[in-house]
Amino acid sequence: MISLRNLTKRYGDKTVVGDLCVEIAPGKVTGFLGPNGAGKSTTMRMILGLDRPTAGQALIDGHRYAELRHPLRRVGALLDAKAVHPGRTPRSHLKAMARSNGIPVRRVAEVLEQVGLTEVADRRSGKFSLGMGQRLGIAGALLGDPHILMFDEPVNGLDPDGVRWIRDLMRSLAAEGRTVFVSSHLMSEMQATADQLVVIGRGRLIADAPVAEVIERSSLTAVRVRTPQPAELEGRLLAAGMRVERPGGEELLVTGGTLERVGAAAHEAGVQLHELSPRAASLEEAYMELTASAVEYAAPVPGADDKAGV
Amino acid sequence: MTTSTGSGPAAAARGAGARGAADADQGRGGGFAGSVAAEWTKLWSLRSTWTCLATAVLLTAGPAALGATVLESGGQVANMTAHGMLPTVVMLSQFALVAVASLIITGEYATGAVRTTLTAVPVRGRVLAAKALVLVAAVFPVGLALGGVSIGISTVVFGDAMVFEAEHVAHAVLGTAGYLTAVSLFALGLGTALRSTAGTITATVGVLIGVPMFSTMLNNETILEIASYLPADAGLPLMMGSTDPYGWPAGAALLGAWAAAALAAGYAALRLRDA
Repeated sequence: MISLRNLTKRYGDKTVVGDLCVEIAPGKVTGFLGPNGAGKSTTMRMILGLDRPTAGQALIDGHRYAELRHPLRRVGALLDAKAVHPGRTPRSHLKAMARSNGIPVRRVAEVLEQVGLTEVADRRSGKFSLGMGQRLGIAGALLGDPHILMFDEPVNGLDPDGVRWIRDLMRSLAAEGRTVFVSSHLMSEMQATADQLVVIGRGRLIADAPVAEVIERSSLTAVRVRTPQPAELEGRLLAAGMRVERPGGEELLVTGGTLERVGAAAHEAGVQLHELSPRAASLEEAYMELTASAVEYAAPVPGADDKAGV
Repeated sequence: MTTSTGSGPAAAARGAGARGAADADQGRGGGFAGSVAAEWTKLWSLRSTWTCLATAVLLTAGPAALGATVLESGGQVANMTAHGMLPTVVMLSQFALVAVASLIITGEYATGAVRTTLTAVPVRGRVLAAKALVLVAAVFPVGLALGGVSIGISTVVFGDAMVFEAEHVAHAVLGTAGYLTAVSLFALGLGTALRSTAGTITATVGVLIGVPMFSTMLNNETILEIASYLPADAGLPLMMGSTDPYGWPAGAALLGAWAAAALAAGYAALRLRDA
């Protein structure tokens, strides 16, 4: 369990992370989303005690990271692939980590095997590809068999095989009851991997909800209608306060309304329907909407009220 | 490249008899001893450490042989002591050790490895103390070796013409190792405060050679007085056994103070600044 309590980081009068309150629970993959510069990495660095919060706390099972006696056995982190000295071999790098936390040195060979770096274990890591660097970072995260894992943009530089591998790894870690906290800007990846989403923009919390709920709540979740009398229906729907898009032909995309309300409006207008179906927003769309509105405008998202009851 | 995902890390760990998540903070290991072991592993797993130490030996042996040969052929060997050339010889080779000392920390900042170090050992003071201890353990023996190399070469070149007093020689060799250790700790402290390899080495060269040379050029009494308390001058009584303007205990105390001040500055930066 990771608890962020009013976590705040300011540089001068610029607030990078503002008053963040989130609990990241075990047993699921929690995706950490936000545009570049939203404060994701800073938040992760504060959890690991690398950066000092201006205010508030980041706690690991109720303790500050620096209080952990063997931090690598509690929390495994992949911050970025560059946290490795290029002149050192993966084996030496991991051996030093193991010794610092009283982890049996035989774990080094185990995690190297697990991430598929056994063959290059004694080569200096400076010449590694980005993907191999990521694997080495992940090996370091797994070294202490920790109950909490944090990955900052883990699929960066991985080939499709590697992306699939890391996705399966995160799923299996969560299935074992571990806390998996992973940041990404690849929404499609999160849709496939995450159970829970924490979305921030400009350091502020925008959403903390299950993936399905984020999609469902999006005002971009629409109702698709096909009718031979699109103009008549459109007028009716607009009058009822819904928003209508006309992609062309006899198709209408209605937002701000439910299937029932659209159906009722068609019935009242006496309009014949060829199709009435829900169209879920993709996570990407939901996310773009969330961050765009929260970042650029202080005012609530238009139509957000309509969605509250969905 | 093969990848295994099937059983997951917990299964692998249990299979190997490693600890489970429940006893996370039980068990031994880690702590200060673990930090020292980790720093020791890190120091010797870098090629730069070996290169720098080999360079230190070469930079000691070369000038020692050259200087001794020049003196010998110039007929200036009368009353030459075995350790007489130490301060001159070490003036150059000390920077190879300064490089090792600096890189222990600045190399980590340059490569990002410091984030791994500080997540593994979040107690900042412990990291610096472990690095300092490992540095002493590496530099002191090398310092003894450098003193031995220099004196050995003098002995061979000067032969019987040279004054060889075992007590003075031992004092000089120990003093050289002590001086080099203090200078290395000074560089480690400075490196922790400055975080940049180039900045640290430049600053150390300035303090060890630049300011003393400049003060000699100016020949101003006050500045010369100040320069006599800098690490380079403080090392002279240790290496040479000189007593003017102060003896070796005062020299050792001064060197210790310089190292301690730099380490304190480094510790403050490590504590207060974000990594």
